[in-house]
Amino acid sequence: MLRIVRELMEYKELLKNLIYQDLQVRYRNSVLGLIWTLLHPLLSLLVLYAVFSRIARFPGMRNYAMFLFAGIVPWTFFSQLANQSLNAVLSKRRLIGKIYLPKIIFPISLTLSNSINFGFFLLTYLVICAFTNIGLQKSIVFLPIPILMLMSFSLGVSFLLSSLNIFFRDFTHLTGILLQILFYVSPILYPISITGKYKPLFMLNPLYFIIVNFRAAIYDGKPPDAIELWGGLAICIGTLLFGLWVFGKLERKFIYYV
Amino acid sequence: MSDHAIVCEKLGVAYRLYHHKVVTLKEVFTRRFKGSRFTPFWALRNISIEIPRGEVFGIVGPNGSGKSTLLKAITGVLDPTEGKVEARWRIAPLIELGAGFNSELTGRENIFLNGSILGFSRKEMAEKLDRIVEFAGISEFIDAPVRNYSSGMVVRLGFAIATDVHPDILIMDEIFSVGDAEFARKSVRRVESLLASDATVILVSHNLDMIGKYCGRAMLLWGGESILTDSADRVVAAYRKRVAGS
Repeated sequence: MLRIVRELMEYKELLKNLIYQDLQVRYRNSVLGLIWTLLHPLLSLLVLYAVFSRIARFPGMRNYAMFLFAGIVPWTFFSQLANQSLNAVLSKRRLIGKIYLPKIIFPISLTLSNSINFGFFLLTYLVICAFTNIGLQKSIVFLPIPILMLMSFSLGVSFLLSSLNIFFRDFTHLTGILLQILFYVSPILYPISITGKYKPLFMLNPLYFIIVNFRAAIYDGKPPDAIELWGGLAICIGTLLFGLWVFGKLERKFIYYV
Repeated sequence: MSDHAIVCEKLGVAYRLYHHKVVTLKEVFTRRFKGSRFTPFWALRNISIEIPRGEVFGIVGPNGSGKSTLLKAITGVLDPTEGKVEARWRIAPLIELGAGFNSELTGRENIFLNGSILGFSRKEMAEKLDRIVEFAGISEFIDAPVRNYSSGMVVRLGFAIATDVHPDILIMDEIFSVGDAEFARKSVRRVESLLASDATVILVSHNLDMIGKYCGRAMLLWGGESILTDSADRVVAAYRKRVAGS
């Protein structure tokens, strides 16, 4: 742990450059630049809304579009990061074969550059939300909690995927399928209340905690529920530590497999 | 500790030779039943070197003798399978110029990116910027993306960056002269001044005259083993004899 922190301090310039490079490369060659990163999830949101607002009628739903939006914001961050993490280290094989670098810098820089996009997307939600019947609520002060959960869980998953995919390329295929399943078992399209007695089963999914806490803060206008708060924090930080441990264990062997 | 810049003790690096390289989950399960399906291949074995500060040390040997593997172990790219390596201070490998370039970024951005890979801050690189650009002779193109550069320009920029940072330990793998005739002359002068500085240098080359000319001591690697470590002249002579005899 200490070694990682010390190395990151030593290479903080590289970390900055990697984030900058990531954002630059993503935006430079397209006219709409940043707009695209917002447009993409907004369009998929529109499609989901068009389909599901007709099929499903949930009791007590105040504004299904914003309800969906509040769940899509953290989901988009997580799923995009998970997909990109698969190649976070693999794509740097040329570089790490030439010079020693702390490999952990790659999933970290990826997570940070993605969190900038996430910030813009969240801001978009809040701006739109202010003009709807939901409005901005006092519960927004709790928003840092689900953000912390999302960041630590996603970073942990990024550590796991970027390292394990080096040894087992199966993860590339597996992740696509798993993300699809996760999307439907997470309470993004529907309120968790409709799961009834199966709710504990849905709570096995760490994303459940993240999404429920996000919604509480920016849609429901409620303070976080104690179980969902502490359970979520424990699972997310646990995932982060587990991912860090696995990455640290495997890091030394990367070079023989990339 | 002694005043050594680099110390290798009974260093060994083994690669696992798989029947095919990509491992899948299926193989993990099937291997349980079939037994392990790789044979260790020792690319390096039992290498001990002590390089004092400021020495220019040469490494010679035929292709596949383990020279690159040894450099990788010294720079920390590879973790040795056995033995240990101790390298102090900042190491800058000058192997394959421009390995850290991102072709989408401009020349200027790549200078900073490459600097940070070598462990230099933005400020330190900003001071070197003008010198690097001038040496590479690409001042008109510095704000164009590197993908638009000619291959000669990329090599020149890579060389200019790599030789402008002044590391304590410098690893040179076959780069003396790059680019066209004029740049080659310039680059040889640059390398010579680096060799004359107080940096510790490890020099790998097939050009035996270079080794004889610049190195104090050298090591002859053959089949992953250290055959001889002695004064550069004697090692070069031994290598020539061995090549002639085989």
